[in-house]
Amino acid sequence: MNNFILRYISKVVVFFAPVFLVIILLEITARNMEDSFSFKHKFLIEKGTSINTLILGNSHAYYGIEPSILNDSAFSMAMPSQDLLTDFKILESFSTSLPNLNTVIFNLSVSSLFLSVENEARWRKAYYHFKMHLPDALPSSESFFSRNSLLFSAGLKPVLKSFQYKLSGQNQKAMCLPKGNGLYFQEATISILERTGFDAATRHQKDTSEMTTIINQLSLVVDSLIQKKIRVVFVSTPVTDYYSKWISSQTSLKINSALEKIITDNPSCIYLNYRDNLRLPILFFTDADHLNNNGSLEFSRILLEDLKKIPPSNSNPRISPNGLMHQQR
Amino acid sequence: MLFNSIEFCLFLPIVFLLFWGVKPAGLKAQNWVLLASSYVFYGWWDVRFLGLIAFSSILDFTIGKQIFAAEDQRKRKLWLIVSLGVNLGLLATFKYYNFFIESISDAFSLFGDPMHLSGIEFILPVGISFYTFQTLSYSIDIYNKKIEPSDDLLSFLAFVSFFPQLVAGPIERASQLLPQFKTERNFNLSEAIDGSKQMIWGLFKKVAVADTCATLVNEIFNQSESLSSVSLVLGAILFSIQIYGDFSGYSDIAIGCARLFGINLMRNFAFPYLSRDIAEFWRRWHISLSTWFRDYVYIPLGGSRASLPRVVANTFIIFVLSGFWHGANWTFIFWGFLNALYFLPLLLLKRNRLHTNVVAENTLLPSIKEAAQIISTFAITALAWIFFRAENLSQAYHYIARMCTVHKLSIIDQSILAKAAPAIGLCVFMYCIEFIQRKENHGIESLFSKNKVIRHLFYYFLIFLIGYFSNGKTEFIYFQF
Repeated sequence: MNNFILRYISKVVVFFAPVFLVIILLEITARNMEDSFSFKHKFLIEKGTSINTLILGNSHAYYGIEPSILNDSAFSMAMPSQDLLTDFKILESFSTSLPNLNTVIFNLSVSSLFLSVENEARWRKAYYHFKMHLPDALPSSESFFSRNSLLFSAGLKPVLKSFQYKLSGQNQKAMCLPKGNGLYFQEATISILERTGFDAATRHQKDTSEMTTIINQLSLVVDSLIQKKIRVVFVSTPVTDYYSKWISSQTSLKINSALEKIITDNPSCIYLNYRDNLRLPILFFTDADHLNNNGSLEFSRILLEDLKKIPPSNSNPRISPNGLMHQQR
Repeated sequence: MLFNSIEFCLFLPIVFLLFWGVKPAGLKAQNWVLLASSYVFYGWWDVRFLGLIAFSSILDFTIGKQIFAAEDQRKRKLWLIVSLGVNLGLLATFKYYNFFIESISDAFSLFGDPMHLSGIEFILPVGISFYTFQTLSYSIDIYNKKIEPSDDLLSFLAFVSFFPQLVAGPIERASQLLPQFKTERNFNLSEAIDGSKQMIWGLFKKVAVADTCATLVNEIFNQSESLSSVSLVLGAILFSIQIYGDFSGYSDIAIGCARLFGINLMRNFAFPYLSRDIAEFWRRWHISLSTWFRDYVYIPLGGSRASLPRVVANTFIIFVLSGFWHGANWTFIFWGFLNALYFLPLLLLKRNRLHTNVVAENTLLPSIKEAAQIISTFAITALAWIFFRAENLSQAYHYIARMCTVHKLSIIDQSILAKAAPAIGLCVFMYCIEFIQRKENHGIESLFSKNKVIRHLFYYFLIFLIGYFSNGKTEFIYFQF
């Protein structure tokens, strides 16, 4: 090779050296920085034996159910955008770390039935893989780089955002509370409710392609939990009308038939439906479909009271004879 | 393999080192490297596509020789027809078969006699329109005695499959590109450095600008029936920028990449959104396709020197053909037709070559008149792009009708407008940089040329934006054509 080519190569190497250095530094820092994913993994491995109630689900459960209200040994493995398929993977992967588990609460909502993590926020798959060490979180079709680098797999934006939260003192956005749940403090304004209601409802109804897979898998998971004598509770968390009004009748129909199938397939489970929310006023919400801190405490108390009323042997106690949209009044 | 993938980031340096590493072994060895790497690049999508490109290349190589060797004009014509028939036949089969079947069925149903012809699910080979046109120009140029046929199959195969421009152009002419595969190539440091800069700028336009706009554009077009005119106008503007960023971004990467191998590809975009009229726009947009149609269709048909009705017909023919080249859909055909309508008055009034220089050539900013001309040209092209983007003519019609009606901003509009800031910011940034560089060949050719530190910081900033807005491996729009 002539000198010009060598000069070009050296120029390219010198130019890109800082870029590679920054990539390596970001990768190392991102992998070692504590966040909800790594915290939950560590908690399950180190203190899993202390957990008897596990809460699973998406942001509705993450922000809406306060584990400490339910009991001292409850822990939330719910995460924003977490679909039911990921819930199953968590149960499967950490089953040996949870020998004393006696209750699993699944959050059933429009998004948990319809959306997969893949479509909702692809970067989260990388976090499940690298920070929560969830096997098969990343599809095998991903490239070598994606399978071996958090930065390449998740992308620069979420990694930088987590740094930003950490540095700007907004750690609660990247980090869950000690019981695994999240917290929103602010109360919703009407304009927030209007905007978020539309945004969330549109997003949640985008993709229904995986619903059948999700429901079929759910039955298998529930069977295996029941065999282990673990009580299974399905909960639909409250949402406001600002959200519900954008859920199309077609989607409602799909949800109802999906829920009907879930409950028919799993008669020994409990289903508590608070979706139409007749008890929590708007001041308990932070946006159209998420409870704030006060709402989460209030809702968790209601949930606890209702759970207490159900005798352990009773099957499907909250299903009304004429359908599934039975209200908790 | 996509330019905006990690695989390509590894592939390119390996090919570069191999290509220049085998230089002492001669031109043939370098062409082998290019051919092998181009086939790896293309086969990355689907190995089955390789058979088609190899067949098409060998066929035209053979036919080229036959055309040249044939003594009487009839035989020459016959061989040309074979070349045109096979190449266009393959293109028609893979790309247009189902469109023709559907159109015939629809036509029969108009007369109350529904006809049920079944379509076939073909996989459309990536870039088939691009390399078919490239090989066609080879046969036509030999027929027109503009070039002699290649006697070296290896260099011909490398010319047809040259990976930087294989899947989305620029559509090269054999007379311009083929000789570069037959002459010794010497590494040119400044060309390679500028080529690398051009690749970074192309990646920025594709990954940061086009892909960011794409998310919003998809949302707007999917919900166009519930949106107000403000959002719909925004959707049309952003799509115009998206398609420019996507396609010119690809061309910049392709041209920059070729320069690393000492090969010069033709310029494909010359800042078209700085055009002052539609004629200037078409001299600056997808130049390799426009000139292909001009040289191989428009001029043979008589061009603008024929009778008035013939000129009008020729203009419509090339624009409609150009639209049809993009895809088997009436929306593309109408897009071409609309552009012909825009162009024709300028041609008939002989005002189509009013603006052959760069806007604001000797001033810092354009005059108010020039600015108004640029904005109005952009507006009419954006209107035409609505047809290009729409699923069908009905959607385009409803989109435009709704765009022209005043509505109160709905909650959906507010949601979309709130998300638009990053896309608008990136578009404005790109537009400003290209305006500053309007006399150059690409967006960052001589930017900050006097200050190395600022220049390098700017490149790092671009790389940061590429990384920050990267949204996985998204395909280029023009791959589907």
